[in-house]
Amino acid sequence: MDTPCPPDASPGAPLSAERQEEFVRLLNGAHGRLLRFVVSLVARRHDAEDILQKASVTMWRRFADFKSGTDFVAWACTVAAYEVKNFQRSLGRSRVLFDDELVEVLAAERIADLKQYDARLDALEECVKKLDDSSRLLVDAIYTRGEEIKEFARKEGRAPQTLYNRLNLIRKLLTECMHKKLAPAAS
Amino acid sequence: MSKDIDSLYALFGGALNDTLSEAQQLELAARLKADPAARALWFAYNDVDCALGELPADAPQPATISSAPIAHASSPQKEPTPRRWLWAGAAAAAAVVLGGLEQARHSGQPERVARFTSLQDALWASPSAAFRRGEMLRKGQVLELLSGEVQIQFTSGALVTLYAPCIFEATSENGGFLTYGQLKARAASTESRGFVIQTPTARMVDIGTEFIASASADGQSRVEVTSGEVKVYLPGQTESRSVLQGESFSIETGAQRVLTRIEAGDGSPAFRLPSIEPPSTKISDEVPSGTFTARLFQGADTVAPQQDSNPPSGSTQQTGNHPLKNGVKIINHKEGRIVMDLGALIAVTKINAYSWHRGQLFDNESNRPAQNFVLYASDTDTPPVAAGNLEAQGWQMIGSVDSDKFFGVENPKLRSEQQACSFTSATGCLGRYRYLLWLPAGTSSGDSLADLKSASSSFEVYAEPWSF
Repeated sequence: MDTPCPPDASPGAPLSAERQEEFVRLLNGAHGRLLRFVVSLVARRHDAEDILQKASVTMWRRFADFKSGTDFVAWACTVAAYEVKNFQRSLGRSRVLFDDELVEVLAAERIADLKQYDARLDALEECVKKLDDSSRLLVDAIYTRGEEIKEFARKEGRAPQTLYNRLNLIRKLLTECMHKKLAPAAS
Repeated sequence: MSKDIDSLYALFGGALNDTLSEAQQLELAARLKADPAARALWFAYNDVDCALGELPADAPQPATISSAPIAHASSPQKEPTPRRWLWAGAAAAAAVVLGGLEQARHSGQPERVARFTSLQDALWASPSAAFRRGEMLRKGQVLELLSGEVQIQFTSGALVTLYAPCIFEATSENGGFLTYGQLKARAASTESRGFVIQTPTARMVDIGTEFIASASADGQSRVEVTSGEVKVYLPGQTESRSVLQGESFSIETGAQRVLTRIEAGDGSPAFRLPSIEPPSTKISDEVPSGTFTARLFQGADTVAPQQDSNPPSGSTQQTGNHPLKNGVKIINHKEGRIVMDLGALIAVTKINAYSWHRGQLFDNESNRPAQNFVLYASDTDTPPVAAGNLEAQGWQMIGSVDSDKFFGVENPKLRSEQQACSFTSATGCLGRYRYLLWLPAGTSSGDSLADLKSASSSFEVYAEPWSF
């Protein structure tokens, strides 16, 4: 995927009040999709949030280039993908999960893939109901309350790896369940 | 096949848990590269992970985790979860990152560490942010300034001015973290001595009294001391580097921790600089002709070197306007680039670049001293292709300079006629390289002719003596 934004672009002309409001509205509306986009390129959620912060500044500086009425998410994803590469360059190689080549492939495909998110949510809502209480407790602790898995494992008297494995299994089963609901004819 | 998918799921899980070994990371990347279906599954898996992060806080909470089956094919025991939790969670997440940047990161009430003392045309990323003069800033609070200028005073007395766009976090009563952008810090009081600005690649400690710090999107940090002294610590190092009034340097990203200095000369034939040594006059005598080879390409009008077949050096130029004695001249700057063959794999410890031109006759001559380029290196046996995606071709970026941006040049005629930059490494060695590539870039002042330059450039590469 081409990333047209230069790395240190000079800010454009000052935006009008209407354009400023438009930017904030569009960015707020797209935030969830942008975060999902970045997470799929770097895997680490905290890194993704940092990257999105930086990308939002770049978007602001480049917003004069964005044409109202066109696809903001696609434009913003392009900026975010560029920021992912910048971020990865600032890390040691050992910390980079995906190289630039793979990031470009993932970014190009993920922009189109994001359009499936609503349908996936619908399916997932049903699938989540099938989780047993024990699994909901784990999901709630790790995802909702943001507890560290090692700390939670200590409180529960379990090995962290056991809980990692359990989380992996929960995500796998939910993914499979979601796919089945989205493609019933194939199952 | 099922086993393949299971192992793929295991890799996905490890990636999100951040528990993959290096070999597993490589395996995951290889499988994603090779298989579009694996990528589609990765996206779906990520969506599941994101959605789980938006679960409502009031979900049923049994006492302990059981080892019973996780999901059931038949009817669940609980009431249906209202659909709105997903969207409420998404809205909350958006509020945290966009609307909540001005809010404390931690729950409760972290200590107050600073106060807003001035706000000029401040526009924040969050539409709900409305800071006023006198308002307190708490520890951990992150400011994302989109436009304008803001001054805050820390409890210690240190004053920090943020220039948009900027992301800054107050981390203590005597310090903060600059994620992106530029700030000016002044620590004049006894209490504020030791004021710390941390960036992604450096830690700057002000021991009196004023400096400008910046952090760019690519991770480069820069410090410029306008008064007093600043000590700079690099990641993993206990030894600091002292930067004195009038000095500055940049810290590049990467394992070599490249330090970049840009300085202006005194205009004399001796080409004196504050800390960078003058151009060597001995290189061409000490290094046998043929060890150095410069190759220019992609520019019909490019010429280099101009001094016979010897490397360019300080001995070849004694005045600002003496183009025939210049080391390297690039006319077609838009396509011209230089590949230097060092003759063998060499442990490079320092790379300097010099430019000298007075620009007395024509306006565009005053463009020529500007240095604006990206420097790459390669350790391959044959020179990598110097076009396209350079890193994919085998080039590693050493660093970049933009002297106009550094000196704040707005009028090209006022550029310093002598300029130099120096790349060194905090680890002592930039790396073992065979080839160097100078890639011109446009200057920050928008000068169409300025480039890697010029009619008076000289490049000098220092190596460990035993590395030849």
